[in-house]
Amino acid sequence: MIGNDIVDLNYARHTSKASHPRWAEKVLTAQEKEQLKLFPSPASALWSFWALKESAYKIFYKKTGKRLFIPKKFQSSLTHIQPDFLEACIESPLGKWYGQVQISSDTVHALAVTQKKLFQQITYQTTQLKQTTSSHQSSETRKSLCLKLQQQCRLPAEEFRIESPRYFPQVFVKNKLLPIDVSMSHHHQWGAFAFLQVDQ
Amino acid sequence: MTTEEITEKLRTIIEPYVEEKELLNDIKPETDLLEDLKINSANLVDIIIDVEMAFDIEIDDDAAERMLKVKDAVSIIQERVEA
Repeated sequence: MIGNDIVDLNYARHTSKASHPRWAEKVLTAQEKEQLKLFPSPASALWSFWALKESAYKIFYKKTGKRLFIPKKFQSSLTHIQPDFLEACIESPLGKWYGQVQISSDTVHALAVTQKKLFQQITYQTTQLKQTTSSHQSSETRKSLCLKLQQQCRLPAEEFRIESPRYFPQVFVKNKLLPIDVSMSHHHQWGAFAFLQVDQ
Repeated sequence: MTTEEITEKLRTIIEPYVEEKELLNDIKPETDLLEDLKINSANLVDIIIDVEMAFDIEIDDDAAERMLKVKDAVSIIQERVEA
């Protein structure tokens, strides 16, 4: 199973209190705060931890249907650190999962998976959005996802419907649920999706 | 503080994080912060910090977990303001 999350760093810089000491206190565990010290740029590192937690939370929600807004319940231990790429193990309430983060000057984009081998099977994409209202963010991200599904599954894009009857996105073709695990995310000017075919 | 006073102050705190301002016109106790007001989850921590500072209270993780709807937030604030 997968989850993904994108953070628009320029927007976050202007709208969030992430630089406030209380923010890290509420979001990061003691171990994560220690790892944060390894980074020359704390802002992108802070948002990387956040995006990993959100990605893992999306898996948790898909599995349980429970809303659990306690970021510290998803603890990331970074196992590989490059300026533009991170790998992590994620301790979730449901067991050990894995994460990756791509860092650019504009965004951090995280993926979380329940099994490490799934990273090789994921298709994902980040897109700069034309409009920033939440309905446009969502519809534009859906459109990008449908186009990508069309390319991979060789079906007309208009035949795909992305709906969220259980409060997370699922892919339907003519009312039939496809065995594709998807995750969508958007934040101000950026949208992202990730998907993989599920073994049946 | 009355429920109405807390709700009004909460609305002022939430407002900067709601991108579609018309959604604020119809705030009810049942209004869900993420689903109905389309607040990005990344801003929920900001809202909790703002609430703590505005009401001079502390909201721990367990209380934060319950802050999904306006009525939840108001009752959590009320409990702590009156403590």
